[in-house]
Amino acid sequence: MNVTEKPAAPSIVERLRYQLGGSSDFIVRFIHEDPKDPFMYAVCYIDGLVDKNLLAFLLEAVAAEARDESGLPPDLPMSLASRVPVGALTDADSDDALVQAMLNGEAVIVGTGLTGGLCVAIPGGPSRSVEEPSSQTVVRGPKDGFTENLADNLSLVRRRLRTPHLRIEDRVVGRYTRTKVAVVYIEGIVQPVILDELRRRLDAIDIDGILESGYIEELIQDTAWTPFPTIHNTERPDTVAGHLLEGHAAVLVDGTPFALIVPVTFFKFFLSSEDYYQRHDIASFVRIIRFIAFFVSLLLPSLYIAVTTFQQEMIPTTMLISLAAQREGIPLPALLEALLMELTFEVIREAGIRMPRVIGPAISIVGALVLGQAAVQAGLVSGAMVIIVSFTAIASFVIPALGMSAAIRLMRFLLMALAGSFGLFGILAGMIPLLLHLVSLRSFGIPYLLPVAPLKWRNFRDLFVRLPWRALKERPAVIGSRNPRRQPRTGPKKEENRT
Amino acid sequence: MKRWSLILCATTVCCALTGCWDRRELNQLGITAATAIDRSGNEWVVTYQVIVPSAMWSGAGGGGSASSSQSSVHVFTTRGRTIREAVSRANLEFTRELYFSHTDVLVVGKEAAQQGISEVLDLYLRSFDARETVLLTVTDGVGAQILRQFVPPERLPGTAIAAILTTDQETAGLMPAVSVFDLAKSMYSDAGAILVPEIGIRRADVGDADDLEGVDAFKTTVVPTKLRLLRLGVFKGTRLVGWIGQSESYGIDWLNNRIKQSTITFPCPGAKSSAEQAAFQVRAAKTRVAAVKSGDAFQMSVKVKTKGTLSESACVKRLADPDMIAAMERQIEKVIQEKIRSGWNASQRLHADLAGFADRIHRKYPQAWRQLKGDWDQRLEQVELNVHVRATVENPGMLTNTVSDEQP
Repeated sequence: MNVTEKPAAPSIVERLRYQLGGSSDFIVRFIHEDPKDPFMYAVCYIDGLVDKNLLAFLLEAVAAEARDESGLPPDLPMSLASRVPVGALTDADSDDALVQAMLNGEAVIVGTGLTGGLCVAIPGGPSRSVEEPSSQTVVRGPKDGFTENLADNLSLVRRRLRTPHLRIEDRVVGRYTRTKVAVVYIEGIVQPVILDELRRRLDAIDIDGILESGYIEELIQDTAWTPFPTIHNTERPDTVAGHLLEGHAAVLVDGTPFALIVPVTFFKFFLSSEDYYQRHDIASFVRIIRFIAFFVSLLLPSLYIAVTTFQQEMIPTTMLISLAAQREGIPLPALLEALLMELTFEVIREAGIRMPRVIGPAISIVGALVLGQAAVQAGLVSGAMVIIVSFTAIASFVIPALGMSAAIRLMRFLLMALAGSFGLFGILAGMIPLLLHLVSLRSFGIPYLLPVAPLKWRNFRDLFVRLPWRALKERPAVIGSRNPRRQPRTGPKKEENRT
Repeated sequence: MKRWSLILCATTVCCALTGCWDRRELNQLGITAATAIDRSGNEWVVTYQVIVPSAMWSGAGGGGSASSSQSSVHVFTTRGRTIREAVSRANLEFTRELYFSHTDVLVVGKEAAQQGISEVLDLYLRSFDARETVLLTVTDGVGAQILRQFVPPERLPGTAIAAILTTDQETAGLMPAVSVFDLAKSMYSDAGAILVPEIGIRRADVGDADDLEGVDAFKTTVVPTKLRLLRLGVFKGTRLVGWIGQSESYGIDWLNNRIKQSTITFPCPGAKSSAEQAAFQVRAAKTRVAAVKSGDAFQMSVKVKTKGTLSESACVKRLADPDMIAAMERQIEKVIQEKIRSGWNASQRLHADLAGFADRIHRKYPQAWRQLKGDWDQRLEQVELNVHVRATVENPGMLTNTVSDEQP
């Protein structure tokens, strides 16, 4: 901090104002030693990006420094540090840096004795408090979810991993949005190869704006030509912490509650953090249910179409008769019937998301009663088809990850068309390329179907079932192999009971 | 990108060009529950019992509701020089494509059975939709007549006949359930003979056969006439050559090791009157047959082992006495032996090797079989039966004594 003869303060303030185009939320407070004199200090900030209480402290401190008559050369940083309970104090020389600092929620102090300016981080402004995540709910488990504030989100993760090995790397992405993006990982567990690749891909992004982590997800994923998500996203800090402990890395983006987790495998999308909080046997049961729901959601309508229009001999006689009875007088072929119902459901679903909350119940009544019941009674669709479609729809919501269930939905339509044209052979002809596609996918170089193809038996302990923690002494192979031990090899010592 | 669009193109073209070539909606199918095959002159007469799904379904609301006034099956007949020709003529008078994959039972009329049904076997083994697992029955009359009957309280007569056949075999063992495949198998075996259950209409004291033909059959609790299994038709090759009674067929079932569960009624040891009878519930039975050549003649050694429980008793003696149980076992053995002998006698009478001894001799004495082969059916009379039965009463049930007026 050099002390110069005459302040260049007014011109700096003017330059800042000019850079911001005279925007009305750019506020400057001049602090005079004497009202007649040219000002000594100016505090500049963007209204709404700074915390009002901290700002008051700051202004007071700066004013006190201006009044200081000790005769000592003014040393603003020192005195601020002692008087203002604020965060980071940095100095910036260029105008651009000062503007950027203000846009980041810092107050900039310019004035006598300062070249450039002094930036005080007092971020504030409107933000949502920590609430229960809306998209990934659990019955047992922590109820806090990420918010739009990156600092809060990082603190939620840090609070779960109080280790010096938790590393947070900040970077700014987006030429206009200047969005803060944080890479979070645990040093010593994460694979450096994956981390370097993640850094490389993040650094390669050059885009005007990042409004949500979805932008980042698309820009850093391995391939865009797949409906299947190759990057996991979650609203839950405990999910992030759990993945970090298994050797994954997370990307938190300012302005969204959705954090990204890389790399990710296909089966991860069927796991919920609650699986680890519940008893292992119950969690295993629920997981098996989820995998069954996956197949139901993917295949049930197409199997129904195939079996009822091509391979009728596969249906038990009594069931065939009851299905045939329901199809009496139905004008549409089974494929069209199914497509019609699926389409109806998709419309209701989309409407349910978009419409104002107030009219929600009205739509559910119209959707469920009018379209379901009435369509059957009018003889447009068979009762069995309504059951198939609604069960499929419910099954698709069992899958915890929305991205995965959306992919399954797309595949379902494809398989239905194939089943309607070729029967069970069509389904087979759809499933084989689907499997080939899944096997060919990579997420940050990790095979998508990891523990199954390539086969890693160790990971099966925590895949379709979750074994008790005593059996999960090692981290999952491949992703967690850098630091494989989760618990010591020997179990907890058994207490000796002697009577 | 180019590759993907190519694949997409190919898939679309595949779907669009081929169309849904063998697509059959459920409501285009005439699901046939039972088929009957008769002969009339040079023509095959095929009768179909087609399910009327809307009459079967009793679900509330929706596309159709079941009404008891509507018949659940529709029966009609077509003719042709081949069976397929007859089937193809069905659509001259019926709206739906006949569908045979769910056919449970095939009824063969007497005339067709006597002429031989090799064409039927050929058809069932050759075509994709008709299954050789369909159960075979023969009737002493016209098969079409059987299909017109309801089997209250079941709504599907065809399925009900199949159910009668299989349930009887599993629980009582009185009649074998024979599939088309079994008949084909026997045709190509050395013995070449098989028993096929006869289904017929038993006329009771009142009413006549027509009484079961309408849905009114469901409105009474006792029906005057009933479809039931009667005798057994003896098929040599694919021809019906004669009939044998149930008790004879029962003996042949023992010979063929086909008894799983059965009940044997036997007179009590030292019974004073014929009213003193007891019943033995067979839980397990095993028959071993071995051919023994003695000179030119053959002796069949039949060893039967059976275990079971005493399920009913009118014997006045104490059952707790082990000697009594042993005596009972002797009686059971005697009864089984008699049954086997009577079955074998029937087999000899009809010159049909129903016990399948020919295959055993062929396997054991292939040289000798070559000479026997020509007139084996005539030689059956020379075959001697050497029957050993070992019956074990494993427990006398929950009572050790008999509930009786006379106390021992």
